[in-house]
Amino acid sequence: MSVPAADPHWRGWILAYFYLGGVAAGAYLLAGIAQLSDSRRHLPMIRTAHYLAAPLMAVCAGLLVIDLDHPLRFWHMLFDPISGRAVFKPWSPMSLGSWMLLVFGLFTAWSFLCALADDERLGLARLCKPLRWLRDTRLAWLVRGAGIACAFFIASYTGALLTATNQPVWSMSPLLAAVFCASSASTGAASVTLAARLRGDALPDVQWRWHRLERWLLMLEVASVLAWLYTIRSALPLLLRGSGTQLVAGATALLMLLPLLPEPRPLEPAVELPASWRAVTSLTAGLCLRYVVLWSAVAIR
Amino acid sequence: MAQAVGFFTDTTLCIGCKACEVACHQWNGLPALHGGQKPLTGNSYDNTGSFSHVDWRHVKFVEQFSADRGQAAWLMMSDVCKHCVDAPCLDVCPTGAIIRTEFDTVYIRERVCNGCRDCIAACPFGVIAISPSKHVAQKCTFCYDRLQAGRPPACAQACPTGSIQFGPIDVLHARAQARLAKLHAEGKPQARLYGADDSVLGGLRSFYLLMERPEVYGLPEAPLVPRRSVWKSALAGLVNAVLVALAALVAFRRRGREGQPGTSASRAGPDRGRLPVEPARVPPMSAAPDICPGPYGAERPGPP
Repeated sequence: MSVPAADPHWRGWILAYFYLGGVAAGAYLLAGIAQLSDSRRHLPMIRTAHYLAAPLMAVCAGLLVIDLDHPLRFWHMLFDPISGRAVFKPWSPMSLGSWMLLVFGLFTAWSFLCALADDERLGLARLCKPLRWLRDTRLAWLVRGAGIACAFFIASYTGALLTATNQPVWSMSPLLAAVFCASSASTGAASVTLAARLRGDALPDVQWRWHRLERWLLMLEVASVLAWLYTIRSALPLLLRGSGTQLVAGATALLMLLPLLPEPRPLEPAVELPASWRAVTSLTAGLCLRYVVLWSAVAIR
Repeated sequence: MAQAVGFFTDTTLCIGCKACEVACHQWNGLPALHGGQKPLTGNSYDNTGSFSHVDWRHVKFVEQFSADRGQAAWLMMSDVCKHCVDAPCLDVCPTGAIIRTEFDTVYIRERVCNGCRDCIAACPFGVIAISPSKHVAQKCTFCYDRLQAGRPPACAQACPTGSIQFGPIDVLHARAQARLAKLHAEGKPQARLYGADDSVLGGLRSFYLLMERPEVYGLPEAPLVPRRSVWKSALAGLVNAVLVALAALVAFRRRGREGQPGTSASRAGPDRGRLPVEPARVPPMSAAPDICPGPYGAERPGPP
């Protein structure tokens, strides 16, 4: 296929950012909703999510800076170096995303510090006290709501960013934002359940609820991917022309569908295994999905 | 604002001499790659191949052959940045490095660009490339420095056949319409203008007279304006965000005795929404088989 548009060479760093950013946003938004609905029972899961989100966002910021051809100019995303004024283009997903990344980074850092304070891990009683006070005010509820909204944005804007191009496949459908939103949520749930399992302090019924949610979100992800594939159906024959691409696409489909298969009634000693396996599969499927989406614009050329 | 200017490229007059490419390199100080040696691509006499960080103009050679390859014809076209009215690169550029000048052309401020490459993804014509030495996006500047000095762009001045015509955009539009009418009158109904009206990205400041469909010249028929897709994407994302939130609320909701006073899930009292300092440690799941639903599948009966 002859494509006049040039390849932006968004490869490994961007793939890692899309994935890790999605996991962080998904974990944070689900923790936020859990906080709003039943914070006490879900507390270990919430803390696990907050311990995951902030470091992942820090890594994401690093990935985005590294990917720039002029990394030291990363701050030009926010301010014009000549006029000194803020640069904000709400119609540009990358401009809006840069500002939202900053805001979401602050939210995740605040939640991370709160989790540390709750676990008495900071060792700084003076810092913990104002943090707890801040967290328990009415303002905190507003902050949590805003944090959830930000997390939803981060979870889905990368799809909108790809659509707002003239690249083949990416620009063909507006559903990429929906696909990434569902994928971020499912991988976020999977990361929290997996990490909580390692921490071992969550109530069994709470873990079960998160596993059930993970399964629902994966169903939503699969449905979104199918809808997206339908909207790009004219490009599918070109995309699937090579055996290598068929292999990657098949592996992605398998990884997404495997956790949805009905599982046998678990025997008591073996109950630990399936959930971890499902979470790992779900996380891998999310990574493969983003790889396939990013690579599709290259493969069709 | 100064008068809007543009290029009208009449491809019927192009002879593929590449004087425009040479003039562009010379005026803008663009180096020759590979020691000035440009090997043939092997499938065309077009040895520039594509736009790059040093090739801001590209003379395309479109070779056309009959089925038995007994007859051949060449279409030639000197391609360049279109300086679109609804420029996708300018729309998406997050740093504001890409601006519209007082001549209504599109210009990249090198001091501001940080090499995010969003403009490359957005440009439907593939005219932008990253300079490996400057690490910023590069493309035709429409000889902004020459325009400011009241001089025409180097390529237009160098073109020996008048294929690249420079001037006020209104004058060029009128000239193009007259040329099109003349070609139609000469029995060449396939002649058409590309980018002269607002059907392509709101209009192109560098527009073309073509003798074939745009695709034949490697031009997209209907390029997209990125900002128009953003709202559709936002709506699609919002639908799934609502579904995710609903799923999470249903999954996390409390039922029956979980919400009664005295249980760990009690909602009553001042602790609602607050996180206790010390979470209750519970035994691992395998050691607490009778608590509430079954962990990973069918629900099991709770304790009596």
